[in-house]
Amino acid sequence: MKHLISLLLLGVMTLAVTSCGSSPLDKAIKRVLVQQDTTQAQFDSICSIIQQNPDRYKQYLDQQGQVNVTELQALIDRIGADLRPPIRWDIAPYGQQELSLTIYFERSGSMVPYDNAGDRGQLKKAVNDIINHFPGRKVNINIVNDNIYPYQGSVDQFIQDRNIYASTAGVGNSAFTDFQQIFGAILKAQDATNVSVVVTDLIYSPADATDVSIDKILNEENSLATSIFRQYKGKSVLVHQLMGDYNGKYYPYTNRPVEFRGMRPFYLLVIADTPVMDRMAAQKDYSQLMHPAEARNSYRFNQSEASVDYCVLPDWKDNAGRFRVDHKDATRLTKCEGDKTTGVLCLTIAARLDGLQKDEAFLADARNYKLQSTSGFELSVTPVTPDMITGNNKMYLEGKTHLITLKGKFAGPRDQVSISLPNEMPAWIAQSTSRDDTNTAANGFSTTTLGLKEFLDGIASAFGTGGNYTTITVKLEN
Amino acid sequence: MRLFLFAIGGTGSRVLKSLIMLSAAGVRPVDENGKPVPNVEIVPIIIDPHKSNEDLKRTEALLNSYRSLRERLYGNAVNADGFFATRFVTLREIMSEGTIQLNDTFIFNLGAVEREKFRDFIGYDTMNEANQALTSLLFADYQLENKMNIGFVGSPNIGSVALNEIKDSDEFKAFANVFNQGDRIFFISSIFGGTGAAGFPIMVKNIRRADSLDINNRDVLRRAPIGGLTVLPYFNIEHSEDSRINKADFVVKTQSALYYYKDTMTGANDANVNTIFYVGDQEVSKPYTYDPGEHGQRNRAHLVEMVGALAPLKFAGIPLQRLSDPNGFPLPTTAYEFALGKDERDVNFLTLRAATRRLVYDPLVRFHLLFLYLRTGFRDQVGQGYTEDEPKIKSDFLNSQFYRTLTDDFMRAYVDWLVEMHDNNRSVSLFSLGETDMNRAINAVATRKGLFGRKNVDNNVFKAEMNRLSRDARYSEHTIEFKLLDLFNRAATNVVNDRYEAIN
Amino acid sequence: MKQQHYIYLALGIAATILFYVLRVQAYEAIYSVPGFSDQFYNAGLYEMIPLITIAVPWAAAAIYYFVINSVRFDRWYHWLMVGGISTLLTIIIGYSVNHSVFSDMGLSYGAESAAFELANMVWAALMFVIASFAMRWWSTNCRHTPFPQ
Repeated sequence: MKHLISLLLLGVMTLAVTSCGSSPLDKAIKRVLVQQDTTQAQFDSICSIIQQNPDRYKQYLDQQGQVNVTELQALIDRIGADLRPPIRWDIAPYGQQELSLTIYFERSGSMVPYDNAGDRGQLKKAVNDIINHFPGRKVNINIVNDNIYPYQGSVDQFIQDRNIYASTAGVGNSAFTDFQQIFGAILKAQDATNVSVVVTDLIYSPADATDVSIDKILNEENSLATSIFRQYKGKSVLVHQLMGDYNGKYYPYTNRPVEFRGMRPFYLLVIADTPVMDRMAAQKDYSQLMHPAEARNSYRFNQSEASVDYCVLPDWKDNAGRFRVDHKDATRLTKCEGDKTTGVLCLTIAARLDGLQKDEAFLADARNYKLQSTSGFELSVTPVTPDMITGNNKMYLEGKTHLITLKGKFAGPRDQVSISLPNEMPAWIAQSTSRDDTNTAANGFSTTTLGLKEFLDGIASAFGTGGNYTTITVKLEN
Repeated sequence: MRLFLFAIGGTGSRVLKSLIMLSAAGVRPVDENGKPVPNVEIVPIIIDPHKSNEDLKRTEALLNSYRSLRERLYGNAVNADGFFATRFVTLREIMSEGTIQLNDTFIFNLGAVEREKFRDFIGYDTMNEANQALTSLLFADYQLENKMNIGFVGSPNIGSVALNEIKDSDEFKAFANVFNQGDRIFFISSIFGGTGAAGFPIMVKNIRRADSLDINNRDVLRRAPIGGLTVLPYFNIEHSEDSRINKADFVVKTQSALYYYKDTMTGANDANVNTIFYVGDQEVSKPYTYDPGEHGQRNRAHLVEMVGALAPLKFAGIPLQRLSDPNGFPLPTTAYEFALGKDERDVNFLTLRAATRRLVYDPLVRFHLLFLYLRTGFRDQVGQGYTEDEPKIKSDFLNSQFYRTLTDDFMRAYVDWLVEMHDNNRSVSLFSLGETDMNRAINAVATRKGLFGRKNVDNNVFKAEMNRLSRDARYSEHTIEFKLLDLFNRAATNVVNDRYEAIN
Repeated sequence: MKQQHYIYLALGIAATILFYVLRVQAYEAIYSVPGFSDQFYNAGLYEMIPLITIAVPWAAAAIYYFVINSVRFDRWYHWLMVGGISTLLTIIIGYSVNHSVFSDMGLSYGAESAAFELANMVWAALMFVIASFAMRWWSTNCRHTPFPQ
C-alpha cells in the first residue's frame, strides 16, 4: 500500500510539474498576447514583474538593474510562437529613449492668411494638436523663413497664442523661404531621438525670383530637394497634407500678391531618423503625429518594406470551402478545398496595416494591392470595424485594421498567394500640384500647391524609394 | 504420536462423535502450556458387537466424512491447523503390507461374537453337567439366550467372556504390529453398561500382559501409556416391562465396577491404567427409549459426551514423564474429574470453567460461524472477491463431492449434534439454534460495542476479511477446499477477536 | 502482490503521462473546431482540462478501490456507476473551468465547450478504466471488479 501511495504521488507530481511550470511572468506575457493588449501599460507591468523579482528573473535584467529588452523580446517571441496563431509583439519601441519634438513653424508672408481671427484656424490647431499629443516632454519651437529662429515664448504660450503671426511678426525676413537653408539646418541639427515637424505651405519662394520662368524655378526646386536629402539617406520624411481657411494676400511665383479667400492646402513634414519613424509608426502614442485626423493625404518617403501582423481567420462569416490553419505556421493552410457545391474557396486575412502609415482610402482600395497567385482569386478589402469584433474573434481581429478576402477556385495542390502593397508615389501628389498659381480663381487653385510634385519628387529621388510597403503571404495546400 | 482410541460400546461411539465434532472445529491436544501437540494421529477403533446400533452407524459415517474432507484439505499431512486439523486414520491405513487382511474401517470386526447366541458362544450345550450348573449360576437364562449381535445389553458378565476373544483377532495383531514406542492407548467406555464395562478391563489386561500373547511389539505394548475415560451414569432409560436395562441397575453396576477397577487397574499403586478420567452427571437426563432390537440405541447426544471427548485430547497432551518412569515403565494411575463452572441446567460457554473455555470456545465459535456462512452467505459470494483469487472457487465447487459432504453430511450431523445436546438435560446451549444472525448466534456472548452501537458480524464482514487475507496470501499451491476453510478460519479468528466480546 | 500488478500500475501511469504529453493531439483527434480550438489552446485549457480528466477519474478510482472498498459495492455495475459519476463529474468540472476561463477572456463558445466536453467523455471514461486497472490489484474488496483477472 505504501508503494502504491508513493507511486501515485509520483505520478501526480510529474503531471503537476509538467503543467504548472509557467511563471507569473510567462502568464502575464501570454495573457497580454492572447488578449492582444500590447500597450505601453502592459509592457510596463511586465517590466515591474521582472523588477519586483530580481532574483527569479535575473536573466531579464542588465547589470544596472534595467530590463534587458533583448532577452525579454526573446521570451515574448518564444511564448508568442507557441500560440495559435503565433503572435509577435515587438517591444523594441517601449524600451527606447524618450523622443523630443522640434516644431519648425514657417512664418513667410504667404502663411499669415492661414490664421485669421475670423476663420477656423486649422493650421494652428494642427500644430497645437501635435504638441499636445506628443508623448515626450521635450518640445522646441522655431520660427522659420529666411532662416531658423527660436520661438521666444514658452510652449504653453505658443499654444495659447491666438495670433501667432502677429506676435512673431518681427522674426527674420518673411519675404521668402530658403528651403536649402532651412532643411539643411533641420537635418543637420537632428539627433537620433528627435522628431522634427515643419509646418509649411511648401511653396518654394526663393529671393530674387522675379522674371524667372516657372519651369526654371520648379526644376531648381527639384534639384534642391534632391541635393539636400541625399546627404541624409537614414532619414524618413512623412508628408501630411491638410486644408485650412485662407484669407489674405497670396504671393504667386511672380511675386505679385493677390487677395484670396478660401481653402488652401498646408503641409506638416515629419522628419526623423528612419528607426524613429518606424518606432512611431508602431506605437499608438504617436498616432496624432503619424496620422493626423485632419490630414487629407499623407505619404512617407524612405519607408522600407515592413512586415505586418496578419492571420487567417479560421472561422469567419465569409469563409467558404474548407481549410485548416497550421498550428506551427499560421500562414500555411492545409486541407484546402472549395465548397462542395460551388467549388469556391473563400478565406479572409485580418491584417494590421496602420503601421504602414497609409491613409484609410489607400488601404481600403483593393486596386492598390498586387495579388500574385496561381489560382484565380479575387481580392477585396474591408476595414475592420469595432462591431465586427466579438469575444470569440477578438484574438484574431483585435489590433487588426483590414480584412483582405480572397475568393475563387483554388488550383491545387499548392499555391503561394502573395499580396503586396507597392510603394508608388501616390496620385494625390500630382493632383495637388500646380505649375501656375497666378490665377487664384482658376479651377483647383484652392487644392493645389505650386511645385509640390517637383519638391517631393526631389526627395523621392534622393531616397530612391520604391518596392513594397509590405507583403502578405499565405501558402495554400490541399 | 499415535493415539489408539478404543471406543467401546454405545457410549464409546457417542463420545467419539463428539470428539469428531470438536476435531472438526479444530480443537486439538495441547500441552501444559496450551501449545498444540505436534504429530498426533488418532486411530479410532470402535468395539461394539451391536453393529446395527444407530449411534455406531452415525459415528462411523461421520468418521468417514471427516476422513474424506480432511484428506481433501491436507492430504496425508499429519500436522495441520484450523478446521479438521486432527488426522483420524484406520488401522488398515497405517499398517504395512503383510499377511493380515483387514477392511478399511474404524470398526473392530468381532467375528463370531456377532453371529451367535451367548450359550452357543460358550458351548453351553457341550459342557458337562457340572459346568452347565456353574454357568447357570453365573448367567441368567435370558443372558444365555442373548443374541450377541445386539450387544451385551447391560450384561458385563457376558461381555467379559465374549470380548476376551479379541486378543486373538487379526485386528488386535495388526494393532500390535503398528504400535510404536511413543504411541499411546486410550479407552472410552461406560461403566454402567455391558460392552464397555467389560471390554475396558479385559483390553487393558491383555495389553499389559502382552508378553504372554502371540503378537509383535509385546514389550512396547506392555509399557505403553494407557488412558481411559470411564463414563459414569448420565442417562435414563424409559421404563418398560420388557426392559433388561434400567437406571436402578446402572448405579449398582457402577458401584461394583468401580470397586473392581480399583482392585485391578486404577488402584493407588496400580500402573495398569496411567490416567483415568471419570465423567458423569447426577442431573437426570431425558430418558432414552429402550430398544435393543435392530434399530436400537439411537440416543441424543449429551454434554457428558462432549466433555468426555476432551479426555483423550487431554491425555495426548500429558507429558510422557508423567506417564512413564525413566526406564519406560508405566507410572501409577492419576485420576481426573470434570466440573462445570456453575451447576446450571442450561450450559453455555460461560457455564464452562475457564480452562475448558480456553480450549473449546474459539474453535467451536469459528466452526459455528463457518456453518452459518456456508449455509447463508457463501453461495452468493462465489464469483466475487476472494473466490476469484487463485485458485478460483467457481460455482461448480458447490456441486463438488467435498462441498456436499461438508454441507449435506457433516454440517447436518453437526446440527443434529447441537440440537440433541440442546434438547437433552442438561441442555447445552452454546449457540442459539436456528439463529442465522451471526451477531446473536453465540449464547451469552454479544458483539463488542463500537462507536456506533455494537459491532456487526455478517457474511459481508467475512467476505471483506477473507478478501483482505486472500489478497496477501498465496493459495495457488493449495486446493480450493483448503483455501476456503483456511481463509475462513483465519478470518473467523480475527472476527471473533475483534468483534465479539472477549470471554476468555 | 504480484510483479504483474506493478506492471499494470506502471502501464497505467505511463498511459496517463502519455495522454498528458499528447494531450493536444488526443483532444484534437476527437474534437477540433476552427477558432474554438485555438482559443482553447491559448487559454491553457489543453493543460487544465487533461489534468482534470486525469485527476478526477484517478481520484474516483482511488476512492472506489481504497476508500469505499466495500464488499457491498464490489460488483461490476457498482464500478460502472462510479465510472459514470466520475465521467460526468469530469466533464462538468471541465465545462465549468472552460466556461469561466473563456468568460474571463470575453469569449463565448458555449455550444463548442459543451460539445468538447461531450467528446471528452471518451477520455474521461478511458482514464477511469486505466486508473482502475492500474490500482485495483491492491484493493482488499474490489480487486476483482469490474471483472476478475
